Amino acid sequence: MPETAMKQVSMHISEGILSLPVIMTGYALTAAGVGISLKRLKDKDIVKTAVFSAVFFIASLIHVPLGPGNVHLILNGLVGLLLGPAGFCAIFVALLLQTILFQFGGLTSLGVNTFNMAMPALLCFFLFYKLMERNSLPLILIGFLTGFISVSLSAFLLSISLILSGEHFAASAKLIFLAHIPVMVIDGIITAIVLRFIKKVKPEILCV
Amino acid sequence: MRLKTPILLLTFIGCILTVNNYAFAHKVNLFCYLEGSVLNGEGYYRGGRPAQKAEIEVYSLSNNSLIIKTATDTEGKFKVSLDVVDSFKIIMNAGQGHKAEFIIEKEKNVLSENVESLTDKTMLETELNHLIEKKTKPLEQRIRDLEKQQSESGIVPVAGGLGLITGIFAFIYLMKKKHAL
Repeated sequence: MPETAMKQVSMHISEGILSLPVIMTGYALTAAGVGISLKRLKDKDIVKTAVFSAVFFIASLIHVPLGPGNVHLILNGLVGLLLGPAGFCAIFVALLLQTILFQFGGLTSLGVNTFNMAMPALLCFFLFYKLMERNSLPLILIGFLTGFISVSLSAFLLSISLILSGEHFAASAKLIFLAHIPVMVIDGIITAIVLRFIKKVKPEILCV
Repeated sequence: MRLKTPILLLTFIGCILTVNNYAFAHKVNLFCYLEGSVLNGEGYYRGGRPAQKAEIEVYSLSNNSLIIKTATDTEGKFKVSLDVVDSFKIIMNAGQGHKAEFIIEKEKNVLSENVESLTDKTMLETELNHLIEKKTKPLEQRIRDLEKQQSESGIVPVAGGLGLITGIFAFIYLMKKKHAL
């Protein structure tokens, strides 16, 4: 696993890796998150949610060569910041389709994968949305921090999920976290650029 | 309610893109080669998943008779010894209508009749080049097919995925409207 992790850094945990309690906890947390997200999803936000679900779906397919391996964009922070709680639903749909169509991750690990991506996204919304609304911080900085922190937390949760499934995954978990450091920076930069672009061309999208 | 028609239209587009995608999603492939008189083969779905326990039938192309029947193992591979020297058609049936075919042409004597008298260096070189070209032609064709498949497989699931996202959120919209009523 460490060698594979180095060649292709991915946030998707595959089938057969996680233990049953971790899988069940992941599904329970994701079910609660998606349920709340759907309940709070307003009609006027459905199209925006679908668009950002598509953005998240496509972002994972863009692989960037980096050193001996390659990494892919994640953009969960961007989705969370611009959708708020609805981001949970958007990320779940995108991950479900990635699992079915590209065999990224697996159906058993879908709950954990969704939680690992959506929870940091939601946290970034609570951390930065008010700051963005009040213009308390430059948008570029908010964008970078959103991208950086969301990927860091996702990588951290992914490592924890692996360690909870078995002590023998500890080395892989550490390696996966370290391998994601460039992704944190790249995602931060891309999120900052996208936010700046949205503010220029359609600032109303920035409001949840 | 004004939004209902465009939403239904989006659902329809989503369904079309999805159906198109699923038509390709379970495409099964077969690749075979002869190693002396031993026929080796491998069956796999798009994405590389092995076609396990799939039925394999080997037919002679000259008289269309069934030579041998076997099945793939858990890795999607099979190996059979063939007594006859002929051109073969191998058919794999992975169930639920997933079928693939592969044809192996009988190896012809590719060297010229006067091969024994080949003393001229240039002629020998030409004959060798001809022989290598004949041997590598099926492999080149296979690589081209795989490249084509790879380029197709990149676009089709992406389009299907986007179609499904449209469909799923259109469905959520319709369901929420019902709840509102």
